[in-house]
Amino acid sequence: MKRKALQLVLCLCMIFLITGMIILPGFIRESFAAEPIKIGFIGALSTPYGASNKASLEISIDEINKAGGIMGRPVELITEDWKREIPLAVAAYKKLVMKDKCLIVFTEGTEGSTACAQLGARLYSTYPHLMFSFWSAHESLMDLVGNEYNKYKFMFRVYSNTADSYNPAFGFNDFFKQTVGTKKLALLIEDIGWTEVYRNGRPGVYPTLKEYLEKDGIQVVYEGKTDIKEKMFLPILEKVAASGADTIYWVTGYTDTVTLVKQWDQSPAKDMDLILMSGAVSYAAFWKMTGGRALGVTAMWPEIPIPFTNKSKPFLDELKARGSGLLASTYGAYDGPWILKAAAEEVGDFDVEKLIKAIEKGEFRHSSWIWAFDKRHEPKKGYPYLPNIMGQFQEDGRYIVVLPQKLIEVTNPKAKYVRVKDLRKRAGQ
Amino acid sequence: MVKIEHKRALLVFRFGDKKFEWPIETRYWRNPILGVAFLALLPVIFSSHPDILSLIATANIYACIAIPLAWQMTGIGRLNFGPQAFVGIGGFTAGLLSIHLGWGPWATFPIVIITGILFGLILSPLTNIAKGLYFSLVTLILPLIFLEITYYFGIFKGETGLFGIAPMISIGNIVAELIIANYFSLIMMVLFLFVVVKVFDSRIGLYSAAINDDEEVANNLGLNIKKWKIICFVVTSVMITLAGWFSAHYFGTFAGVTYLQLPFMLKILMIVMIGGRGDVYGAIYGAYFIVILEKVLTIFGTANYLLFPLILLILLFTLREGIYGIYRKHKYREYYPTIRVRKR
Repeated sequence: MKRKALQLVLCLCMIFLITGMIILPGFIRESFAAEPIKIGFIGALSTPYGASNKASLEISIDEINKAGGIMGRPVELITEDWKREIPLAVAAYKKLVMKDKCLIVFTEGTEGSTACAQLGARLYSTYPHLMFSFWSAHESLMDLVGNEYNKYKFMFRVYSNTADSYNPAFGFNDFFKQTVGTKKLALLIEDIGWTEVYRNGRPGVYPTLKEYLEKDGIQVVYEGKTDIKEKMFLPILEKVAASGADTIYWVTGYTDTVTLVKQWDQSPAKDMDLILMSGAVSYAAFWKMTGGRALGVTAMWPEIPIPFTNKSKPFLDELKARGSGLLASTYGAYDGPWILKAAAEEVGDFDVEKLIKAIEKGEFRHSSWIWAFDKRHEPKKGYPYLPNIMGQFQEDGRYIVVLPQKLIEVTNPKAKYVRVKDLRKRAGQ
Repeated sequence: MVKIEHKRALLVFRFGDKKFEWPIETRYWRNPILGVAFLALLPVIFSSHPDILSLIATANIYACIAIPLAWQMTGIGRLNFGPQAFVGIGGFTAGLLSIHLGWGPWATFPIVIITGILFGLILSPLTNIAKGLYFSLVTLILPLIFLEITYYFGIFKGETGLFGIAPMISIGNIVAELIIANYFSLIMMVLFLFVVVKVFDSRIGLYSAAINDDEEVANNLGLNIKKWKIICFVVTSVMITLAGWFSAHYFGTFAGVTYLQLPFMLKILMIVMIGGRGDVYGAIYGAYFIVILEKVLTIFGTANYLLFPLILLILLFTLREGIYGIYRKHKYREYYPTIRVRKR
């Protein structure tokens, strides 16, 4: 009797064991597979950039999850607010990498990205992870990767940088010579850290912007530096008008472009073409901000919905529905998670070293241009890679793409750059 | 049922017939020691929360600025609106030496002190030349000038700031490094606290109080007020400079845009005001309060940008003597250094 009971118990144990051996690995695999891939974002959420980047990342991750996640694993976004304060950015980075175990962290701002990169380099051996930086234009940022590859290889920039102005693929000089038809240029540069390379050059690497333009046959007849806090632009514009220039190229970022354009419209320089680099001028709402005085003004990274691929429109519609603006960093924020997905699916693994190699070697395209990275982990430039997009305000505030040609063809094929004085004539001004 | 009564400098706990009294004055050293012991436990408690560890270190750094500032405000009888200029001096000195000469934190330490003394001495005549509001205005402008300098001279790397600064400690284990660095910040803060408390308890503290109350009376009583104001300004400036040194090596990066702007100054002044004007211990409460409040409010999303200053404003109006003043209301015996901004 005892023996039979023992045999029965042994039989039952064997059945449980075999069942367990069959079911358990699948169960474990399924549980593991369900573990989300975490993506961190450290953003200044009160700024238009931070809000746009957050919305773009959210849309991107929602779409990836709807498409089955990354290799069957769902993706989770964890957002931290750094309020543009280094201590908060560093605390957030530690949390995202060490506690939340994020596979990749998106960082904002040159100073924020620099601080996070310093910490990331120390964390990397214990906590391997990736870092994508945007809204960080300082050209020297990626020197970190260029100079100390093994220490900073985890870091990529998904954004343009100030030195792109010297990149022939960006076509700045051709834009002045061929599109605008500039003969004599007035060059004004806002006097702040990020424009240092334009004002002083970088010995042995980059000339000053004036030297670069002149070397390429553009005559710079007036050169000046302007304070970012400047509100009275009329005296400068009067000098510019007296210089005989036909085009003004004003390197702006922090400058009050709304006031600048309003005063330009009333100054003796109002018939001179005005090309601004960035700032509020990039927003479509700039037309209303200036009360329609921005007629003919041209800027980089215009807020124009460009149909790069068939994925662009759904994304831009959703971004608009969420009330967020389309800014220079939006493309990197939206495409970033898709780059990770493509790289992970290519290597079939989440091993960070393998992912770095895959991102370095690969070419990725989703909603905008082809993302491919050079040795310094800078994105390659010139369409179909990261382009220099220029937009011009024309009648009724229509913001049209005027550079590069390929994007003009897909966005506004019938429109083209028109010189300011011709636009004014057309508008009966 | 335990009943708790607050009697002047005592907390009285009643449990039935039994009574237990606990003196809560800071001059009973067991209270500060308990407080420090509690702070020393925090890195251990939060060892698995690196973000909180970072915030604790940040609070300690803020306290390291606010503690000497509390002494300075009393000792020179003027309101310094630009203590962050010295944070910048310390941070940039440490950063530049570390980047260009490859120096570690202990090599940069003495140079930072010397630089702090030098700049403290250069600016110290202001404590005698600029009176009242003029001193506040001049000190308000100093860090802003420094900020402009960091933009204009490439060596400071503008808004990018210095990077590649040697870490405070490097032992190959990042978690241990963070905890040890956290203790460094605590040790520095406790040292600052100890020094300033001892100064306030000493004859120098009495001089400071006399200068703060009425410079002319102090002078007529035979006190060399110029000498003592300069000593106070230089020593406290060096202490604030060391907070910059610590920040540079702790974060591995140092940018003027973070430390020299008005919002950072406002935060430090808020710490002093919320903690308790001219009070040493209050600076610690204030620092931890501000850091915790700022972090907690981030759960409200973008609304925190409005809530943070709003709460601080309400506290400034309701707690005129700061958090520490709630307790002080029941304690009239000690000298309380009020900060006055005189017209002359």
